[in-house]
Amino acid sequence: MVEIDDLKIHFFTRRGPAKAVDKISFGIEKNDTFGLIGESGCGKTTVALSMIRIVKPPGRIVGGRIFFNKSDIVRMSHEEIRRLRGKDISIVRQEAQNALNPVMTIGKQITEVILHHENVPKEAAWARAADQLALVGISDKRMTSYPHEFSGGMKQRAMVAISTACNPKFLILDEPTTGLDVIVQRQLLSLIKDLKTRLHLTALLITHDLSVIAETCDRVAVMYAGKIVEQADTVSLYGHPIHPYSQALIGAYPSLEGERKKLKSIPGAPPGLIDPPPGCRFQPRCPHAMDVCEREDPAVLERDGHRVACHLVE
Amino acid sequence: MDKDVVLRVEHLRKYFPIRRGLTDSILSRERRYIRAVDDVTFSLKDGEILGFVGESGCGKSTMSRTILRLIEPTSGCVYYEDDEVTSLEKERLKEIRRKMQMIFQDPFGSLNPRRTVADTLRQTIRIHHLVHGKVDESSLIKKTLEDVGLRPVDEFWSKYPAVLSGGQLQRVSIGRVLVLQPRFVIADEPVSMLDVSVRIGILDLLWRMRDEFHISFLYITHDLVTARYICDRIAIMYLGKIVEIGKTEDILSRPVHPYTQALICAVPALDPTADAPDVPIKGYVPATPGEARNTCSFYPRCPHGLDQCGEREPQLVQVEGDHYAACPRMAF
Repeated sequence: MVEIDDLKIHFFTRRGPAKAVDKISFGIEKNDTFGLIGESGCGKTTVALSMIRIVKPPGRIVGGRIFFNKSDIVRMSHEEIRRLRGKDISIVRQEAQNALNPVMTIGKQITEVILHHENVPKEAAWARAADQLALVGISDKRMTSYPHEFSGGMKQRAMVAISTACNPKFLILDEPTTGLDVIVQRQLLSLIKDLKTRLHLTALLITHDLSVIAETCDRVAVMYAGKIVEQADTVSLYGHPIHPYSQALIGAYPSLEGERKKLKSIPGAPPGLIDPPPGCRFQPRCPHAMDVCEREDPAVLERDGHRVACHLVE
Repeated sequence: MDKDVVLRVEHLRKYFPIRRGLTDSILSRERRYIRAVDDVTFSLKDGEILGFVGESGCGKSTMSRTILRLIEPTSGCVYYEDDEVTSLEKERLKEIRRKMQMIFQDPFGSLNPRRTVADTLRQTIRIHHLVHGKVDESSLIKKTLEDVGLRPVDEFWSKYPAVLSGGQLQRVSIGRVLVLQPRFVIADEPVSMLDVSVRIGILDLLWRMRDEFHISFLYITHDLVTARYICDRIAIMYLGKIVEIGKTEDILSRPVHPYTQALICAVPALDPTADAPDVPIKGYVPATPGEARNTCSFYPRCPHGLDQCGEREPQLVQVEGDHYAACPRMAF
């Protein structure tokens, strides 16, 4: 359904171009939830924004293709992409409180999306918006409330209601639960799962939280410094991570299960993207770094749908 | 106070008045309050890391600020060694504040962007007159940076916050605390804004500060997972009250309070093959907590809700050993 091929996005800063997304490729199958995981600044949000072409300057897509149902989003005209946004592809942004309009009622904000994309009378759109709000578990009495009257979890639900108002085929969730309390997070995750089956959605979930991905995603890609270092189905990636970065990331994640043991953090910090280290970008922090890692960028190798970019893998 | 107790908090309360509208004043309606911290009692033992876990709005941050008297409490006592903090004079308060320090959540906001790493520490040293003379000052800064893991020191010495990563910034702000050689430190969500790969490094640093410098910690967080990693004991807070407190293993493996059980159950597992259990409670944390009440504050959301729960406020009751819970199902 969605196929990203050799995507490159650069941010043209005064100190030179920052390679925020560097030749990444992945595909998302219909009705799947695909997880993209990485630390802050690794380029995961930029990937999400590029899929509806809202990467802000100085950022620009400089290469590659993004296929959505066989048409290339990168080469679409403004009019074509505008019709797609909010209708076929929808996004739930990080921090709903900033994405909602503070001076417009929730009902109006949902209605607006429907009216924009579909030729329906106002009353019908309003009624559908109320259904939509009920679908995410908020009483339709709250249609006339303003965002500030909602709690954090409710705002995020309202965002989901807006994003799914026009029955999108593809939903992008950019850190949907960051900043929410655990109980609210759990409620939102079950809501998303529920909507996915009811509306036959395909989804891309972007987060830094390994456990959120474990709970919701079918396939997962690990991003580091603008590149995908490993991707596989969730069970095999969590069960047998191959790339040293994935291993370290999973190893550094405390859990409520198992014995209480000392964990190891990853030494150092992610590299700058303007002049990343030569060869493999993880090499300066990698415990297994070899000479070749400094010289050559590792190629992506694949076996049984498990793709890794690391010189350790033969 | 016991020798091995660093801090004792007794019946601490902080009520924030809700502003009255004009009609309320004319009709002289009674002033209402939000009970952000409501009758909290606990003690922190020497060399202990005690976690306070709760959702946003449960009063954990207000509590920590009240303990340090960054906010004046409504009532209650805070004993630090032989001093009662809430009634101290300004001068003495400044003296003992050196020994009671705080690490804030947001290292990007808590450091001055125009000061280098060394200047940040130098300022703290000068304010508290820790050492005199430039040579001693520099060697103290050097030692502190090494202690918090910013090595090689020369590389970080004259860097500005803008070029450091979140983990490095948090180490600078921990250094600013450590240089004062405090007796106890309140760490308010010290890792929640940091990336997963560096969180453990910061938590291990807190651990080392406890072991090497005998610092006791209150670890304030919304995250049970990191609390499990670092804490000796955990207190669960709900609407300004401690609802359960005990050793970390006891709280996590044998939780008694339905709220604790729900919190544990809501934490997503790292295992993709595990099924996510449903959270057994309903509704949301109320937006304006703390009307005066004679019921269990968790009663409206509780799956067990007995009749007695609506009739009186439960107190902390011993479950076993150090494990206490405030649930009427314990008392009856």
